[in-house]
Amino acid sequence: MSSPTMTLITSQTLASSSSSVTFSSIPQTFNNLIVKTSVRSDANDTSYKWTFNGSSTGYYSRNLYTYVAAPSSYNVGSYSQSNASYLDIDAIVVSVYTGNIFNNAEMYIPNYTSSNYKSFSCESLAENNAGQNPMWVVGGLWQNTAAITSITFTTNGNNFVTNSTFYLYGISNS
Amino acid sequence: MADTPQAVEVNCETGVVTTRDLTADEIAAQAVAAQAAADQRAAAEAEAAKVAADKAAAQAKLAALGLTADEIAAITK
Repeated sequence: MSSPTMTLITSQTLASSSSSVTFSSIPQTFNNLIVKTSVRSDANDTSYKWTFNGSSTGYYSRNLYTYVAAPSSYNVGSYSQSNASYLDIDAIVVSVYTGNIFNNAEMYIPNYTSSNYKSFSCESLAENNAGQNPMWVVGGLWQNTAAITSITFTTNGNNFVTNSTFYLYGISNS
Repeated sequence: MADTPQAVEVNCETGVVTTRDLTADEIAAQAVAAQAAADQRAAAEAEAAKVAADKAAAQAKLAALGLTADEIAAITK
């Protein structure tokens, strides 16, 4: 009988603001990866970029989102990327949101060492006591056969603030 | 906050954390990517707004033909 395990590979809590964070030399000994972030931007920019292996091509995604547009009114929509140069993950907590709140995002990447294209799913949301509260669900594909050995998170020309956190877990099926 | 944007790298094998300044090329690439992201999002939002406006116009025309709100909802959901 198999005994799946979830192991923390590494984590990073920013001691000072930074515009990008990279997990490099990711062990190739697990079956799947889980990435968790809790971040906040120092600008009014609602997304951040994820890339694998430093690659700037082959990212496909379909995003479903909702956010509060006004009291008792929600906007719901979709957004897609096709052969993009990075994966655009939305619902980051931005500078104009309530202070000391960070977003929550989790990405699941199965079979990250395989020679097939890499699929992933991601949920991301940004709480804000003053409205908006965007929530995004993302499904996608990195059209590349290389094993994932690094993951980079990058802002759009601004910074992740101090105490933003990044976690990388490995999942073993047995 | 540092004057020059910083990049942090965590080596998962060694645990070594490296912090460095972004290069000029990296800073320039960020600016380009930011503009591209903004353009892409604006285009998607414009498309969504047009779809919503078209749907509302179509529903109004159906109502003018005599369909009830429930009947319109039944064929447009």
